[in-house]
Amino acid sequence: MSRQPCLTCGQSIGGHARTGVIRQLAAMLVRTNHYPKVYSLLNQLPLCATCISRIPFLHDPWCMVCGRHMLVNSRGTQAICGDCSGFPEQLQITNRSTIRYDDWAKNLIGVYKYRGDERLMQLFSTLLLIAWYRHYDQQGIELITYVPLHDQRLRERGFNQTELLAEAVGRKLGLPVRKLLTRQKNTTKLSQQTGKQSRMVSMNDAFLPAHATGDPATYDEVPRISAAPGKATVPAIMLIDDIYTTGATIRSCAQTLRKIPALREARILSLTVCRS
Amino acid sequence: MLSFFICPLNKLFKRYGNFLAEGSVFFQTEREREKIGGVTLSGMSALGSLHSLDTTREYIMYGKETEQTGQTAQRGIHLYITSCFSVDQLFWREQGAGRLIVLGSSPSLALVFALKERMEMRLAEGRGGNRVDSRILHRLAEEQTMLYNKSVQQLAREKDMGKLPFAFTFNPWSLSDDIHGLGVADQAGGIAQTDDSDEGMVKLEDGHYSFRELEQEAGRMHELLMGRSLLWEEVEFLHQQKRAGEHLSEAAVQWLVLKGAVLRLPGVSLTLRKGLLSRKLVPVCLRCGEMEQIKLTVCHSCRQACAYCTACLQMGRAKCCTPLLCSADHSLSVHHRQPLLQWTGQYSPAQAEVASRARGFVNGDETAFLIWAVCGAGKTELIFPVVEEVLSQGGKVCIATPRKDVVLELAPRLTRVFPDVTTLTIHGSSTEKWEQGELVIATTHQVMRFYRRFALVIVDEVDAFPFHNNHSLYRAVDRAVSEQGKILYLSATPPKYLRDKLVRPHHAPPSATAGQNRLCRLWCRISRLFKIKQELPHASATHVILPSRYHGHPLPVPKTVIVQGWKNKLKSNQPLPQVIQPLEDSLEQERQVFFFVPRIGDVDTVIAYLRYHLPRYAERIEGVHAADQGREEKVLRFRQREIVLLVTTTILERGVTIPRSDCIVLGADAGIFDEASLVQIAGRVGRSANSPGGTILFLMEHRVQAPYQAIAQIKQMNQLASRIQRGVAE
Repeated sequence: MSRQPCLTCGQSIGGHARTGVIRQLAAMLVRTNHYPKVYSLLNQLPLCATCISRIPFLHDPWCMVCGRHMLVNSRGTQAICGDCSGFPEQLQITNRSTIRYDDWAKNLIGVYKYRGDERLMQLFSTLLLIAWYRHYDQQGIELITYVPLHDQRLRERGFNQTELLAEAVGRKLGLPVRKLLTRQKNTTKLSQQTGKQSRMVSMNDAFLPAHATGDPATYDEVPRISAAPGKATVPAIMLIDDIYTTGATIRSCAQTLRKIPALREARILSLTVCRS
Repeated sequence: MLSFFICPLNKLFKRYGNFLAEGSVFFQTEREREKIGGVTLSGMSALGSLHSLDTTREYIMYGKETEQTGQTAQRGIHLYITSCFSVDQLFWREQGAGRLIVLGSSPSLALVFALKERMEMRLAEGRGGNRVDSRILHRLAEEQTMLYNKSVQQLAREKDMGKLPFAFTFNPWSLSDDIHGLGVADQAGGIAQTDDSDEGMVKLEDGHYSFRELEQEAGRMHELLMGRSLLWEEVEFLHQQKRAGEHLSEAAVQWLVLKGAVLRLPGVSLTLRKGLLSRKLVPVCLRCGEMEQIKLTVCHSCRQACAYCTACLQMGRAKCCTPLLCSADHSLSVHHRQPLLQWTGQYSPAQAEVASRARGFVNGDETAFLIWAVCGAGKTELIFPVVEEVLSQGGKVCIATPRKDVVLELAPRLTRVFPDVTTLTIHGSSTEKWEQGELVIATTHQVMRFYRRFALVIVDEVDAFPFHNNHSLYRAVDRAVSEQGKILYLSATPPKYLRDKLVRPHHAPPSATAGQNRLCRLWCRISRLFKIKQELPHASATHVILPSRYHGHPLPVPKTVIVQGWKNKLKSNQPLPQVIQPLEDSLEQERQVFFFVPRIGDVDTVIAYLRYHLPRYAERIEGVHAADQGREEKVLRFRQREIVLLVTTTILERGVTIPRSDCIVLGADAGIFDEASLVQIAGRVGRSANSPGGTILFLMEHRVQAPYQAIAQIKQMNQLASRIQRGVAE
């Protein structure tokens, strides 16, 4: 075990208790086929036993669309939460998240995004991979992309937190990561906006396909994604973000992605660390 | 008044970037010169400052020719770095200096700094012969940039980052100042003014500045920055706090840099070290001095290879492209009402001696001093006269303590005894962070934000976390004192490196010559090397020991007890008479007991065990540890004698004082209990005057050094105390 201290509480990592906690958690999170992988992912987390058991993992039953935990699952396995059922079907973007956005997550995301502690990328990308093994391993994902930051925000912050996550996940899964979008509206911070409605309005047309900006340095070539002849499943692209709150960002991104000709046939799935 | 316009250098570069970057070379034909000049004059878009929102921040390096007096017609060249070239032009024109040659620019401040340093080195070696012209400088810059690129990619490979998407770029410009019609250098090297106005103007985004306006604005900025060492983001924040609504002028900052009032450094510097086989790039955080915990990263702020420091991350990100502004504070404050110290307490004779020695240190030549006072000696009161001495001389004083609660506890005591002094309390969430004051009480990390400001820094509890073994904090303290400033360390258990440095058994008398002093220091080192035993000296020019408590009784000496297999016996609930017996004795006598255990996990087991074996006190046994939510409340109940036995980890080794208490350390051989920690634990006992004795037991399985060293230290202190007392009696 590495000698570095636990990221959140500063205590030393390791000990027998940790192995037990991880075993239990891994067995609870996934079925046996993915147990070894999720076990080793949990083992990589730079957290001690107490902090690992404190991670607010999302549990089923969850909404089939946005992945949020629902208290009562009245309609069987195909349940959709109230928020999602309000949208027309083409706006329902499948999302899955790993953890609940509680105070623990809020604090860590804050340290990562605003204080700029890029080392937390390892923690969050591991969490994303756990969600991938729980939900998306059979989905035929061929390409990963991420929610971009506005150029000005990017310059202020110095890094794009979702880009780092996407790259780490892509490296682990051996999938290509491409920048497909640019942000044209510098929206105010999520926390400073009030209400779902204003969020929807502000995210309206916030993104552009990256190749539309005309500057060849700012976008990557888009590989064509379509169903292979003879196969029924349509390949998917995965959109990565840190938090899913109302889903406005993800929906806006997805709408823009659909405008890219090479991706017209692809399904769009989203994967986020937190679901509030 | 003729105002001159500075050409938008970086836009110009972008336009002509191709032919320049392709290296189609750095000297221009007359035609090209005209072309550039023409664009400059016609495309008068105002851009003096290169920091606008839509462009990346660029730092320009230029050389200034200086004539060297002598027979040879040799010309020297000095390199400068600027963020607003127009300000530099104005400045040098006022100084009447020679021609300026712009070499190029880069968004990475660290790169520009490193280039400057290495090019200066090369120039000093005499590369380029007698006459240094812009071609040679350009070639040198290009060469060094390539070297840096190679090394940074190598470093990235070593750190398993793969190939960095961004490398260093240094955009060469082959413009020299004279093209803009500012001043044309003639062959003789003098400056020929092309405009005859007596006052230049710089046109910046936020308006025109004349020489005088710039100077005034710079003066106001200097007031803000004085005595601080801040990252650019912090400067922006400070400016917003203090001068809300006004524009933060980079030109003014650049002006201060040119005048030498402000030192601008990159947050993280990059130096090339020669290794055995190849050169190695070493990033160093210039704010905290960290070298190990610096992370190479892909930075979108500068779009260059960049690194940031993770050691001081909680104070903001120090990066290669973030400027760190340091500005010394030489101002003296005047106090009209004397005396400043309004304290009516009394010193014991021993305390009075220590206080007077410390006062002597402030007026002496030494720069560091250690007050080694045992636990319960009354350290806080000892510093009052020293603080008063410095304050009345007009100097500023900083008291740095490791923890926020100590800051909050100290502040009211000091404001009470120094009612006429502006006292600031500075910690992470304090609102007074940006104020100015003469007496500053700060947590150790906040000291990092000061630069050459204090005539005296008092470091309380040097041995405690986070100060112990933390070089960056020592560095921060070193930087916070002014050039002739002094550092006073306060501790009950000074770490070895500090003892070796300051406690000198052989000290020369104050009248000794430098040679005698050196001889003494050498002898100290030799005796340390051969472990020649010697008496602990009571005082020297650099330290003083206060070995007795304020009540004058000797310190209680701990006893060691070997307990075999206590862990298994605890688990299986077998009796441990060596633990239970002394506990029963203490509790019978209505004394309270601190029960120290090495790990958090042990707390609950021990509580359960003790509750079982001491059924009479079962409800009055509790335990605390760092992660315990109800810690404060339990400690309060312990103070109120509701709890008689408190099982705890090392968190209670300092700060909590209970009269009539005993201590038991279970597992004193565990690594977490080092000498200092055990001395501190022993220091909990016998604090009050009416019960100066007490039992301290170190229970352990194996004989290890630390407990015996701790006992030796306590005995040594008692011996010293009795020696002093005898000396006084005689």
